Amino acid sequence: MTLKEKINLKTLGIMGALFLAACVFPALTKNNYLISVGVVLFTYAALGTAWNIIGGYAGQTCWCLASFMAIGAYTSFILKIHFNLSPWLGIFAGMIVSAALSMIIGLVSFKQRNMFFSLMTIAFSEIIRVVLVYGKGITGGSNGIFITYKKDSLWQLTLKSDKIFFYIMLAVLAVVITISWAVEQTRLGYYLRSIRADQDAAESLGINSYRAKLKSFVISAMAASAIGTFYGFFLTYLDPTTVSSLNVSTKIGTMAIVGGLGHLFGPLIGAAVLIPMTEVANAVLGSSGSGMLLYGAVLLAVIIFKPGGIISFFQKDGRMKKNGRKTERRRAHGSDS
Amino acid sequence: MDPILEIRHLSKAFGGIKAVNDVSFCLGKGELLGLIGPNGSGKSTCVNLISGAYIPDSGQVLFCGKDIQGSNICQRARMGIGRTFQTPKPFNGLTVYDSVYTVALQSCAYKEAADKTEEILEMMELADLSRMFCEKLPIEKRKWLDMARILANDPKVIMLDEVMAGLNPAEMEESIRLVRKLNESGISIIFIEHVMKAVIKLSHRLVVLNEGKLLCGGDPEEVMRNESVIKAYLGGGRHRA
Repeated sequence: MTLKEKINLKTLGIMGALFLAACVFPALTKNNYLISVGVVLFTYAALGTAWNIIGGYAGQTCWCLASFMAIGAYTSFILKIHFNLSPWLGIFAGMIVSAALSMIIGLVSFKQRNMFFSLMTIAFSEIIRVVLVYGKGITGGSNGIFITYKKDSLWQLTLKSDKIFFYIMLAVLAVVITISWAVEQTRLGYYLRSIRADQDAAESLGINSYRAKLKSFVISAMAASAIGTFYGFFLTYLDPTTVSSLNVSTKIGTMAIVGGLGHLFGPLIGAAVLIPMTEVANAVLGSSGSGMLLYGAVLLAVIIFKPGGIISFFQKDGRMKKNGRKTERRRAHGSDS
Repeated sequence: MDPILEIRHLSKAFGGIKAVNDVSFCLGKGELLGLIGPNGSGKSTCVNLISGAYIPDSGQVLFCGKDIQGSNICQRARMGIGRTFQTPKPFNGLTVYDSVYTVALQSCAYKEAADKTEEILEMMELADLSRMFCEKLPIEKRKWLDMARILANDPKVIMLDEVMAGLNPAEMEESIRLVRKLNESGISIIFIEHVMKAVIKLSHRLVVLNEGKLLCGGDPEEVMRNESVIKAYLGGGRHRA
């Protein structure tokens, strides 16, 4: 049985139905707030899916994906502001910069094992934040930079309505999930899962863990960079805290961990649960900080009670265990019939 | 018998301790060589040096007549040098099938890898368990799976590090049969073991290590009668008795 057989028609049917429901959602509501929550949800689901490639499949805990998102967003903003270059082209510049930087981090850190990569990503995250704060001439420093709205233009991604961004981010999410699925199905996906399970064993069987981890990190970084461009133009404003802080990176990782680490739809489920919950918490408790409190609480609950994430509730293996326990109980009470 | 693997004056020290000290021996094509010795004699270090997990302080490893000193563990595995570990190392989270398929993908196209995986699982008598997750396998099957994964690389040499450890007599008989089957398929095997019954049954020739040095080698029956081997295992107890 290969993984190819595991994505069955039922799963595809459910995802297709959800995709269609998401497509008709903007037509059913005039509430712009709900549309913008949808955009944020898709953004974090896409970022979580990108994180899942390096953090989930490869098992390398990365705390700098927000930095790559920031690199993508800032690069496109700067090219738009100074050269009036369309973000549809600027996106590639951001991706190239992210690929180069992720390659450098990977080349250095994947030579080592254990915590080294995680620590490197934290350091990199701080470096990028400091560069953005102190590079005032180009990045606007702590005050940030913004795109001014002149007229509706899809080519320049200056759009009055959030509805179009809703569809753009939905399409971006679909593309990132497809990339993640492609990684999962190919040799790289198999190698990554074997490395995550036991690097020594994988290497003793000829699997080059260094190269596989490097590839997955570059893919994650490039995807985050592309997502950053669209998210930046949705926000129309960028500052280091909004897009490049360690908090944002933690939030991205939390989506995948809460939803189900190493599962294709795990980050989507995580974002679908956490983003609306955060909005409700912020509204009820009246503070934007309450969202982070909630992330911490949900993350702890998942680690303690369901390490496999929310997705493990729906897995066949989980059901078998549950049924097994029921059978054991019945046997214990002498009523196995 | 033409040698497929030659170990020449191999040495490795960890700090002040010489784990392997000027060890030389060879493995013939199609041979099943038993590598024995008391605990701490340097058997597993030897395996790590041959597989490329450790870099030797001095000495050479020749595979099919070529010095492979410059190649790392991955390259050696792809050349055809496979190894198992004392404690099985299953790919937790992957099924038995996917574990073998992953390795097969390194040298085959997807369809070809699938066919090869099925063939190997059939040969290693794991076909019925192909959908089971590795972590749920009993210890005996985990060891068989370790061997099955290596087969996906089309190995010429396999080093089996204590594959009989922790098995009951019935499981041991099954494992002996399987190791013999592997050897009969043309694969040269270095068999590192403490279970003497299995060593005697399987090995064509024995090499004995003690305190990192080569003690003796030769016919299994003769080696087991050798005074120095008995002394190494029993610490001279036979003489005291």
